[in-house]
Amino acid sequence: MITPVTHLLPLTHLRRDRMLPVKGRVLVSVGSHVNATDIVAEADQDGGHLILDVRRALNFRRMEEAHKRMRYKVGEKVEKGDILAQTGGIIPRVLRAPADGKIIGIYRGQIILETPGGKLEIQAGITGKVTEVLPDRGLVIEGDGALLQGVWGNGKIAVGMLLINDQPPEDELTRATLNVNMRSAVVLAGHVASPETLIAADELLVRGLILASMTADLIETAVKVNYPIILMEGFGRIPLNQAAYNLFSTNEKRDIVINAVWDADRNEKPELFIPLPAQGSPAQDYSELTRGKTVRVTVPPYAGQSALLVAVRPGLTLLANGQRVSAADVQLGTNQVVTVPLANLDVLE
Amino acid sequence: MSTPTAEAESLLSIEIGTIHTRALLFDLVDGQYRFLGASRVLSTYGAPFYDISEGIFQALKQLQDGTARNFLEDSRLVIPGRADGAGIDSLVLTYTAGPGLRIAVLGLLEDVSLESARRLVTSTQGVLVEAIGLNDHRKHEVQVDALLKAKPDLIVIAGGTEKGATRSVGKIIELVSMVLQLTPRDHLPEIMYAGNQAMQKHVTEALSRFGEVQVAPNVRPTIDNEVLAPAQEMLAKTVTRIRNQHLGGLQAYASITSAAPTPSSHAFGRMVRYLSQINNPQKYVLGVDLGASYTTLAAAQEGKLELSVYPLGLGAGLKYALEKSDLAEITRWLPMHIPDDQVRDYLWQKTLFPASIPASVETLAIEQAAARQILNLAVRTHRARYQNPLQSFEPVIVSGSALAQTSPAQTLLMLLDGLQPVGTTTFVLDPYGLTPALGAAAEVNAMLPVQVVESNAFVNLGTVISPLSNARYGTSIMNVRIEYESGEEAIHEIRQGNLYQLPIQPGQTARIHMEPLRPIEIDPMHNADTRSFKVIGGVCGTVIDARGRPLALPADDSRRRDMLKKWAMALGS
Repeated sequence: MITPVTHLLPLTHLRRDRMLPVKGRVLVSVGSHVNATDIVAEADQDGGHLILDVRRALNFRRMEEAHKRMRYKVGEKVEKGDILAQTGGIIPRVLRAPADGKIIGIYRGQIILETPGGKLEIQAGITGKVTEVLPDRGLVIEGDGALLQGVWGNGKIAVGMLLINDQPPEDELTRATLNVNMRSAVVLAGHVASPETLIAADELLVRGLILASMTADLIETAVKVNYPIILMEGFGRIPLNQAAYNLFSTNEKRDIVINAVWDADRNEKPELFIPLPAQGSPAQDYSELTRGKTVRVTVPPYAGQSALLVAVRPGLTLLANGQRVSAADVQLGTNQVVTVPLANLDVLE
Repeated sequence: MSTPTAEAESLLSIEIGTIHTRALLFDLVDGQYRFLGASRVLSTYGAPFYDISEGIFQALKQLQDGTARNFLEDSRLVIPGRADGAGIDSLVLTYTAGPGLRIAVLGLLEDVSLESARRLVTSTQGVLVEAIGLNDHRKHEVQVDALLKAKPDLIVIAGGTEKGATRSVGKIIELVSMVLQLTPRDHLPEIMYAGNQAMQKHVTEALSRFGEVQVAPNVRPTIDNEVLAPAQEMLAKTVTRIRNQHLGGLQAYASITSAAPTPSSHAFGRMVRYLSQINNPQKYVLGVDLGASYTTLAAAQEGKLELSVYPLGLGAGLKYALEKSDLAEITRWLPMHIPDDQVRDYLWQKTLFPASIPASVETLAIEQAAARQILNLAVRTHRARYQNPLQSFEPVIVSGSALAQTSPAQTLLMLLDGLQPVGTTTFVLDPYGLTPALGAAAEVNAMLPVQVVESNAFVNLGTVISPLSNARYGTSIMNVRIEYESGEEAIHEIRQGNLYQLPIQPGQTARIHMEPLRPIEIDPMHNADTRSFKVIGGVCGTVIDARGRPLALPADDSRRRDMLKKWAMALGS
């Protein structure tokens, strides 16, 4: 049976596509090297729309006459004050553009002017080489390094040096335990329970926060801060799984890409990528729950604990709460063997 | 889509859910259609597969192992079935997978056609991103902006009764036409028109240059009459066409299914509508499917269906449930003390791991508390949307993992607390989630759903009688005399504020007589004064719910928890 995998890989070859949701421009070419925060594609976002009724403004009887007297065509840019249409005669009446913009439509004697909107920019998200470009649509980037996947992210991307908070990984990070060494760093810490901590980290100008867990009522604050946050385990007071901690430890002081953009609807996870000067091989994105696999318990009890799968139990197992489920025996880091529903396990590899 | 054959016997139903892909097998046994087996694996429409096919393949392999039948040859589904028994004769497919569709509605009067259009689109898994009617006083260009920014996948236009307004409908069409002209070609939404039929030609002429316009019968042919059913059929087809672009592999499967793939909610509604045609015409049949991302509520009376899909559920749907509820509305149902932050954290964690299962007594209690609030939210929203008091049902058919994976008593208690029906109600559990499959199968084989419903694939949880009384808590309000078929009798005293499980065994028939000691109403919705009922015991026996409506829980935490435990014990939970 297919089981979700959460990657904790010391070295892999990563291939990620970066696609624009609408037609736009790809700003890099095949072969170019990109950093995670580089803007690699952009598209114009819709601006505001002004509907200028030429027929009514200039008192034309017929729609065709209004069209004939227009000075611009669809697709042309205009500046504020430009004459868009004009009557004939010795003292002509004119209709001027009320704002800078682009004519995007002419419809039944009306001009539709689109005022400039913002730009939608797509960041590379990983450091690597552009291997494919789909003109106007997006690109594929490939790179080698360590990959760690989280379970929740606040939608932002940054790069910085990985710094591991010197408190025990299960401890709470507070305003008081933030320190000046964390400035410009991507900080790995345990748990955050107060909005003040997230705001203080913003003021300290950290590049990013990797947390084992966070209290769920901080979601709103976490989305507002200016730096990326990734939760490795989720919501609640959940300690970081040992396998992830070990991997972070071996990469401390290295540059790490913290990409907290993800899409739960498509089962896509937020990712941490540490570029390494070595050749990795692509990892399998799915697995099966079999004896000997390293797994993680995803929800309480035992949430966040990595374990060794000892045996998948035959048939259904009766839990203490009366539920009958497919389950496995797993050995926790403390050597304790516990029974956990298969649905509450993901494979770490 | 393949043409169904007259001699088709076995039928396979595939459901692509937001979490699981399920395969359900039906076939003839001794001349009757029966449900023979099911399999369930994780869906694969998202990363890393981005294609439903892998999930279907895994589900079929599992079903092969479980039923000792062969469906696959060289990893391909054998259809139609062969003489050696391999393969299946017909295939139907339903789906809930994929993000909610972005839908915009346009109509004339706020309370008339626009409201009907809203009801229409909430019968599918969508997010209403914009609604524009005649009373929308925003400037024309602001409306254009709003529609463009909403980026709808689908625009539904209603408005104008038959022989009614045409000019106003024309204005709406002009607005839509302008918006479509400004929309990039590769992002044009689907268009569906369900307004004044006199405008049909005009609408088609004005909008068909932007793509095919789906025309459905008017949802509001007269001011007082709403007709949603034909438009719902059309909407289901339109949604499938859009989903073909979102769900990798769906289009390929559509070519081998015996009927076009259909949204699960639509098939679920179709089945509930059918059941309402063969049941008590005085009462609504209610169907509730409590899923991970969506809750579907279908209420039907004499074939008239009210269908709503809410983004509420016990997975991703918890986000919306938490947004729409005070946490206290969930924690009030907990029979033990669990700190608020732990409850909130657990429910948010569940949004990240929607397939997870509550593994402790506490986490099960949290999920069941959330389920009660979701049921309550859904039924309250439905009442407001359809201006239908919706309190009295017969029967209630329920499905969804949270309701099916727990003990029958716990399921029944969740339903009573969440739905709070009045009168006499029979609760039927669909433990295998067959209802949407049967709704889809009905299009291919009319006999199959009828015979499977009559089989033992559904579980009768029990009949619940909920009398209303103004008496104070603990006051005796009536005696219930049970007259068994054997001639034996038993009498039970019923006190206000309590739940009672009458000793009627599953399948056992008995007549119960209510002898009021205080003024009570048994079925206030229908002014029925029947005091005597014939009942068939369900797995929870027959239940008297004398807790009153709306159900009032003690304000004191400790008393409330004691009360919840007492009610649970009364049902043997």
